[in-house]
Amino acid sequence: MDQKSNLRLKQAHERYAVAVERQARTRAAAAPAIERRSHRRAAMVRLAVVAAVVVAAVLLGIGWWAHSAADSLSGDLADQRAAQSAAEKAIVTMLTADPADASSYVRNVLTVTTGDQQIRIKGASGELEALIAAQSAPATGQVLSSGVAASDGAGTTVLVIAQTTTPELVGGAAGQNRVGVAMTMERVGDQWLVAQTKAVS
Amino acid sequence: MKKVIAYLEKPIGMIGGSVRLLIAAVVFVAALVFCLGSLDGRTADAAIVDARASLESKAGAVLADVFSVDARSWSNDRETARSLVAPPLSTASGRALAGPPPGGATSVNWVPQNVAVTWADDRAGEALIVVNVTVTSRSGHAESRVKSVQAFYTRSGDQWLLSGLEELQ
Repeated sequence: MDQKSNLRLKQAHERYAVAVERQARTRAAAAPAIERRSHRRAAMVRLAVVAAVVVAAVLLGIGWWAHSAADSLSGDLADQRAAQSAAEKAIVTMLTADPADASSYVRNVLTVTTGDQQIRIKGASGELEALIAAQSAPATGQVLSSGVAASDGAGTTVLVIAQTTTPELVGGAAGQNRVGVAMTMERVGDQWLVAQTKAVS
Repeated sequence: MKKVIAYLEKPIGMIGGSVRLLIAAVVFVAALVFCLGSLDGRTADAAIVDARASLESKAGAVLADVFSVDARSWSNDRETARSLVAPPLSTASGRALAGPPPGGATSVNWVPQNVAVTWADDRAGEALIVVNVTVTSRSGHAESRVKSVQAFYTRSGDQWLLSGLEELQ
């Protein structure tokens, strides 16, 4: 009984030793694969981070370009609107005159003009005052419609149709009660001023 | 190259890896949102700028093609004209755009001189146009006069159709 038990115990010890050895061998054999897998996982995480950062940088670039393009487009549109409304106000100033106070007409017109137009008004101030003083009633004007005809770096051309008592003040033919004027507006500081006018109808 | 691979393969813990991936995802999503938002803002303004430029280039030609007519080719001219008008003008001018030049004239010729856009968007627009109208009578006598008109347009795709007209002068 004792001998038998001893033998079984010994056999069990041997089997156990073999199993332990086999486990150690299997683990040793699997070690490179496990390590490779952990390396691969680490590399995948880092590559994913790099890819996300690169794509994000590209998206930021596109977004920044679109942002500045939108700024410049809305700036252009705002400039056109500002030039158009300044032209409407300026044409009313140019068509409004009181025969009793002819000198203030030239003063008012000079404040809405610049460049060549201003030089012309200054040069013709005597004739303009005489023309206004000769009117039997105050000259008036109101805008019927306006639109932007052209817009570039040099300025914005606004076409204005106005109803007026005195079209000759802006180069129109005397006797008609409506006049069309192409007005070239230039930006001076934060104001849009009349740089040139041309009666077109 | 080996160094890069060695760096990439340096083991990362579970938490370290998750935090890195999370930060990368947040950065990516933020960049995507900014990009789409900016593109959207640009599209709206670009549409108006395009509409204004497109109307400025076509308004005069459309007006001229609708109202110019020659006695020798009036049937073709009127057919062109009818293809370029939209309601309410198309209903109001149905009869006028069906016959030869009125009053026994041999031709009516509209030549735009100045075109200015009052406003325009992707569906419609308005232009102020100064136009020289020449009417030639059967005797060969031509009479010209300058008119200012406010023209109303509707847009269908790339085409602008004349939908109304108001004579200002």
